[in-house]
Parts: sequence; structure tokens; C-alpha cells
Amino acid sequence: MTFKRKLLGISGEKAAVQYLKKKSYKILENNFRCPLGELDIICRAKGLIIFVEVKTRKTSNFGSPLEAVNDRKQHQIAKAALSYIKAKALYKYSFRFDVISITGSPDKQPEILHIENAFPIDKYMF
Amino acid sequence: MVSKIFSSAITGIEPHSVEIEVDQKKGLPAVVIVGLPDTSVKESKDRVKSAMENSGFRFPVKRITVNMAPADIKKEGPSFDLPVALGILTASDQLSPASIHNTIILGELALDGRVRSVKGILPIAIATKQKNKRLMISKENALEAAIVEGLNILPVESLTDAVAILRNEKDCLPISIDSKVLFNDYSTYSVDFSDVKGQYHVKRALEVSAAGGHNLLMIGPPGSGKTMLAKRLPTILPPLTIDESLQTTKVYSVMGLISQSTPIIATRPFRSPHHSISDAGLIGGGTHPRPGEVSLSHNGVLFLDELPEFKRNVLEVLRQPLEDRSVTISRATGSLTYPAGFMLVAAMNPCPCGFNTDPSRNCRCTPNQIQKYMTKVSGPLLDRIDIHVEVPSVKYKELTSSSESEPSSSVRERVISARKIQETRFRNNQIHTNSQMGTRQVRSYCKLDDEGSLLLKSAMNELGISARAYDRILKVSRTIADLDESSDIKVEHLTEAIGYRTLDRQLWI
Repeated sequence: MTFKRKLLGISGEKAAVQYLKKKSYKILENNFRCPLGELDIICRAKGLIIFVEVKTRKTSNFGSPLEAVNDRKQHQIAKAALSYIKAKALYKYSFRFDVISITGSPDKQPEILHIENAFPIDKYMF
Repeated sequence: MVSKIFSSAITGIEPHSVEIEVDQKKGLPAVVIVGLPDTSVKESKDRVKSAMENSGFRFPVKRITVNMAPADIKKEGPSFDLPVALGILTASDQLSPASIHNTIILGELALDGRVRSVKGILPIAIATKQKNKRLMISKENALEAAIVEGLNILPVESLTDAVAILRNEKDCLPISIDSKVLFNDYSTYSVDFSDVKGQYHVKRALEVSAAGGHNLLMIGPPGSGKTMLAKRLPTILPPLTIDESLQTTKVYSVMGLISQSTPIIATRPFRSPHHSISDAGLIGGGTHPRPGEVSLSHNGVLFLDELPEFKRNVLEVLRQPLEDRSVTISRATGSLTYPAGFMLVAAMNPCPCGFNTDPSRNCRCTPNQIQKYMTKVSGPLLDRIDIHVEVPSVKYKELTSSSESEPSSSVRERVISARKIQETRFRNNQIHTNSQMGTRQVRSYCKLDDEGSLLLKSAMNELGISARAYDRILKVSRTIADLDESSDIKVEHLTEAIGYRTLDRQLWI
């Protein structure tokens, strides 16, 4: 991954954090890493723990950023989320998986699309 | 917004309507198809996406749910591509919902947006006319649907075309053909009875079997013209009525055998499957059941050449369609009924080498071999074949004689008048021909005079005719009497009928 693309992702995640804070979500964790995968943002709202995947693209010429959150990515997020739940012993909570897509340059008012409850994980049998 | 499109699917040869609902929701972009789709229907989402984008439409980046109701019937095939595409266009406000109501839509999409033809249009067209709706199909399918008179057809070439027509931006040329003219154009046979030299008694047997709808078995050495004669049987049968023609065409439509060159089956079909055919190929079946040869020969002739070479189990499955004139195929997924009202014509050699009954050639089969060969077809199937006739090899003199034989048209006239007599006789029964008579009807319609009963009695004793042949002889003699326009069965009718029981007389076994 080129440095430029890495920077785009980081700035996109920053923009997503700003957006969530504005919607009064409480940010718990940024870039939680475990051997099974990575979670971009973990936050809390309405008694739920929410795992957010942020996807940033400068243009939608090659499809919407949302389309990049495919089965494989969802599976990876689900695995990482379970490992987070176990590490923090969050057994009493309900969970939700969101996706935020950012199209355009993150510095110049990009188009932010927030998909709440973007996918269930019941189809991944662990 | 939820959009609703009407389409249609085929089970067996019967159409039933399918409602396709399309909903788009915010969410990860995906297309989910529910309502018991099979793999070919699920694949349609990729075709639809490409076709829409290549036709200049927007494919919504939304979570799209496609529901096909009723959800308990399995949806197969690519015919739902076009309705799903139009449903997505309506759901995403690219097409107004008012434009699609009252229209039944079917078609497969190519990746560039062209609309391809699909199978089974005719039954759907008939149902569409009954419901008084419009039918949107590909251009190639339009001629097939146009057989249904007064049906409003919207033929389309591409997705762009379809949208333009629905938006009233483009007129579509009304397609209408006169089905009667079309029917007449295609109702001529390329063969004629007069092509066959000699074999007068076989021709007579074919005439009798055509008149009464009797199944026929021809036994003779190779090259004696059994196949040639059988091929000409449809030409002496009464011409198809438009109703019968539609029924048969429906089966061909479902099998995808209707093309621009044969838009309607206007002649009685003649099917001659090879003896390596499987039972599913003969009566229909398969994972996705398809009609078999018996249904393709509906209202026509099914010719089984080299009868003993057919597998035993294949011949056994013929028994039910021969009785019921329809085939019911039961599978775990459900049961289907196809029409199968055919005349069975079979041909066989008298022995494995073929020359047993030929006076000019020597047979080199052992009695054991002949016995084994004959037992392959004996029993219940033979029981359902009324007429057995021997076909000797043609003599050189007959073959080269320049005298014209009787043409099909004049034989056909006699057959038609015999059929008329039967229609009046059976107007209060559920049957149409003498061959369909049950035991009770044989008793009441095939009364013999004293002379006749005496003859039949001595024939049974002297010639070793079995009891099961008794009813057959009576039925066939009834037909012969009808051909003679005689209300009573006379001795000459009876003797001819007895002559058609070659196999019962066990001449060479």
C-alpha cells in the first residue's frame, strides 16, 4: 500500500470519528488490532456497542466504497469483533455493525454515508 | 419504494402468474432474490446489473430485495431478467409505476441490454389473453405469441426499447398474424402414401388403424418399408383442428422447439426416437421435468422402430400414457401432468437376423434366439397394440411398376368419414375412437350375428387366439365396419380383424 493511500484511509477515519462524535456516539477505541483482523472504530450509543468499518475512496469510478465491504471483509470484521468482545468481557451488551463510506477528499467536505446495522453476522458460523 | 411487476412461469405446460416485487433499502449494496429461485434465476442479478449499466441506466447502490411470489413455486430459467430489471428501474424512480401495470413481462437479458427469447411463450400468451393483459416479450418470441388472436403484444429488442415503449416515447408496431392463414401455410406434409409401391395389405392396415385410432405393430424383414409406411401414417389421419394444434404447439413451445421457421405445429407430429432412449426421455422427467417423446407426439404418431431393441423398463413406462392419454410425473418437488394422446406404431423384425419370414432368404437364428427376441415385447405392452401386421419384402415387379398408388388424400377421406361415425356413436361417452372402448362399450357396440360368433369361436380354437385378443378383434372389426359404413359387423369385417392378430397365431414362435 502506498503511503498516499494509507494517508487517505487515516484521514477518512478521522472524518468518520468527527461525524460520529457530532451524532453523540461515544468513541471507545480506534484501530483495534488483533491477529484476526482490525476494527476501525468501536463506539457506544443507545446501550449498544457499535463496530464501525470506514471505507474511503476519492472517486466512485470503481464502484461505491460500500461495495468494497464484501463477504470476506465482513467475515474479518466479525472475527475481530468477537475477539474484542472476549478481551473486554462485554457479554451483557448487544452489538451492531455499521459501515461509513466516505467519497471524495476527506479534507474538503466529502460525501459521508452512514449505514447503520449494515450486516448481520449470523451467517458466519465460528 | 416497492415496485411490482407481473411475469409468468411454467410448470408442466401450464402457466401461472408470478408477481415480482422489488424493494430498495439503504444498506450495503447487494441484490437478494427470494421466493424459491433456482441457480439460473439467482444468476440473473449480474446480467441485470450489466445490462442496465450498459443501456445507460443507473443501478442503485442500495440493498435491493427481489421477491418472487407465490413463494412456494420453484422459479427457473432466465425469463425473469427483464421483469427484474424493469422492477429495479421502477423502484429507483427511473420508470413510472403506472406504465407497467397490466403488462406481463418476460425476457432474458444480454449483457449489452438486448432482450433474448425464452421458452414456453405460447401457454403464457394464451393465459395473458384470458386475463386481458398486455404481453412484453422479445421480438423473436413475438411471432409465437401472435398465434393467439387479439393479444396485445409489445415486442422489444432491448432494455432501452422496453423502457421507451413503456414511457410511450416509442410506438411499437402491433404484431398480428392470421392464425388460420399461418395454420394452412404449415399444414402440408412433404410425404404421401402414393410414394409407397405395393404393400397393399399394410396400407389397408394403416388405414384401419388410422380410422379407429388403433395402435399398430409391423413385423417384417429389413428393407421392407416399415419405416417408410409409418412416416406416412400422419398424412392419412384427419387434419389437426386448431385446438389440437395449439395443444401440441404448447408442448413444443415449452421445449423451446418453436422457431421463426416453424411458428406453429400444424401437421400431426411424427416422432421416431432411437431405441437407445431412456425412460425419462420417452415419457418425460429429469430434475427439472421436461416433456418426453410421448408428449411431443401428442395428437400424432409415436414410432418405435426395432421395438425389441428398446430397454425393457422403457417399454414398460409406455403403458400408463397409452391408457390415460397423459403422463403424470411425480417427483419429490411435485407432480406434473403432460398430455400424451398419441398413436403408437411399432416395427420389428421377426427374428434377430431379420429374415425368418422372408421366403427368398435364409434365417440363421436358432429357435432359442427367436424365442428370446420375441419375449422382449410380449405381455402387457403387446396387449395394448390392436393390430399386428406382417410386412413382406417388396417384389421387384411391384417396385418398378409405374402404376400410381392411391394418394393420401383419398384414404384420408375414408378415415375422416369413419371417424365421424365414431364421434356420433360415442357422443355420450368420454371417448372418441373405437380403440378407446372399454369392455362394457365393446359388449354394447360390437354385437355379432350368429355366423360371426361361430367364426370367432372356431378362430379362437383353431388358430390359438388368446382371450385377451378377443376384445381387440371386436374393436378392430368395428372400425372396419365403420370404414365400410356398415352398422353391423359382418363376417368379412371379422375375418379381416382376425387377420390382424399375427402374433397371437404364433406362426413362428
